[in-house]
Amino acid sequence: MSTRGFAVIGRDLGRILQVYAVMPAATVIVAFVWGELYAAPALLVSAALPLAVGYGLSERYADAGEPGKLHGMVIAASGWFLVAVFGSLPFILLAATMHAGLLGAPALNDTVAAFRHPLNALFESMSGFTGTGLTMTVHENRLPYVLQWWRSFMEWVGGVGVIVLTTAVLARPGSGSLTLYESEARSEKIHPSIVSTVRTIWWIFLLFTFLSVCVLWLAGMPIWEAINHAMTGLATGGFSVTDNSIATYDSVAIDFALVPVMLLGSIAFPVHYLALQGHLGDALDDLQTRWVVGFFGLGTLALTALLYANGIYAATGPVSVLGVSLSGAGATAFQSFRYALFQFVSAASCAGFQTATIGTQWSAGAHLIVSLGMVVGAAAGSTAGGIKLVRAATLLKGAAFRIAGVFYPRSAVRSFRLNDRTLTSDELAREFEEAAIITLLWFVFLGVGTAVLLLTVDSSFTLENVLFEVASTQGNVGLSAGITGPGMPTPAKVVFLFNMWIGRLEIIPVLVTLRGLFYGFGVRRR
Amino acid sequence: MSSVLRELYTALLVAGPDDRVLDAFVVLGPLVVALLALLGRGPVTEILAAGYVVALLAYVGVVAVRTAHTTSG
Repeated sequence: MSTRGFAVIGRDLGRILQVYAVMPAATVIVAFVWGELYAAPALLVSAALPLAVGYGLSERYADAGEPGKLHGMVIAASGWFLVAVFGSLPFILLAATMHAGLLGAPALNDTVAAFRHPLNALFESMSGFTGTGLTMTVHENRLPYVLQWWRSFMEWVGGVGVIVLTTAVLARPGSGSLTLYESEARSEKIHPSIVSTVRTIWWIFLLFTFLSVCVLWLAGMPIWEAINHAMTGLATGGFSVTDNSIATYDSVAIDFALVPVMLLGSIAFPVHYLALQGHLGDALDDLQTRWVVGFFGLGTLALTALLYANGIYAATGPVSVLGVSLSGAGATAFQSFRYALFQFVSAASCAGFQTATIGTQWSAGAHLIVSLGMVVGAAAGSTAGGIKLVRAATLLKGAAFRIAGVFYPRSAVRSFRLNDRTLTSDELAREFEEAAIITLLWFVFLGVGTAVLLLTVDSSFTLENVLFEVASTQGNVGLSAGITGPGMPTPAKVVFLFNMWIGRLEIIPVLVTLRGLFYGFGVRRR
Repeated sequence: MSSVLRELYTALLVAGPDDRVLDAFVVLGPLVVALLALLGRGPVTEILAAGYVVALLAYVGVVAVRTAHTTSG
């Protein structure tokens, strides 16, 4: 890549880091609110470092031009990685503060001690920003409030996107914002201007966050937990502040209150915008939204039937639902539906909240259904991960179109419709190719992760456990079969870091960046 | 600080679906959450939270019906 190319990347990375620095700085407020003043210096240093680096880069390359497609991909991939690196600082520095007993900090407990290892802190940060939700935290309720908030805040911002945040704050004119926006696995536009689009996305996200906090609080969550779970649920991230995720509450009301929160996060922002404008019919006509409802519905029904048939909740005692007491088969059916609905929505929305002990309690078939949800994911343009439903739809409909084409004469003029768009043969080929490449790469890296895990983790974990965990990591879901934790082997942590990173950016930008690092960033002339 | 808040407020009003009532829900949101945190759980705060949720959903429903009527008419 030319010096000009490095300048463009350096300048934009600098801007991203400057905007990011506001996050740890703002978290100081939480330290004051909870009386954890010993955390303030760690947070201020965590803000000052990226601010200084960001300021240096953006000033040094202030005159750089607009980013092209290659620059955009490298900026997105390296920007996310750098933000994850700097995001690990609050964990490391706070653990060091507690270890040294500085500034009246409480004694270091085992949970925070895990973050004295930089790899664990980087894992937590990458998991947070990518909205994965797998964690190195053993007991979430033993974390200082500041770190509980930091984990939720990372997921909340990461759900919408670090670059979306930068674009919204800096509001730079020109085509550069659009290039970066598209490199962060987003393409949908609400307004003609990309700056207006990202600001509207944040507006919608804020409104839904307040709504979700109120809903969860009304369902019975304490306010601190409602705030954190609303942020991580809407961002479909899945970090929790309780020790046993949502299973801690064992509450039917809370389970059912979180389902619409995760659903909101699974639907594309332009669809939310249509609905808020009063075009509810148009919003429901959206192909992806219909697929989300259908896919979530079918998955829940299949899982309910399987859990019921397996008799996993057969031993459940009487259950009270809206004042009606259920017992026997009724209670079993209700509990099977309750856990299936929550876990399938949690998996397919890529939130990763857990109410059931999936790893040890559920059958291989149930694992498979949940894994399918994690792999496919929800709508493109939402906060969810996975391959995305629109790609699954493109592949399925495209394959059917190709097969049916054999039965038509060569001269036949056929049209292909997808999401109310009529595609030409060239457009179909392009969309089909893009969906096929990403899906193929998705499965290739699923295989790589699985191989590394099988070679390194405890042999008591079965193949279905390993596949489940890797699919969860790469889909940025966060459901766990029990493999992930601070005691996990280092190669497994490293490969999971990579899986989370590529999963969030939909693989290509990371591969482009890695190829550039190995073979150079020069644009080939022929 | 006040100029930053003013800029944030202006940005909030400019973004979104150009609807002053919905803007009000976004602006009032942090206030409602702060009141729930400060006053704790009780009949007043439960009515406040439920009121926020019901009013927002009802408003979106009313706008949808009004838009459907306008479009079909």
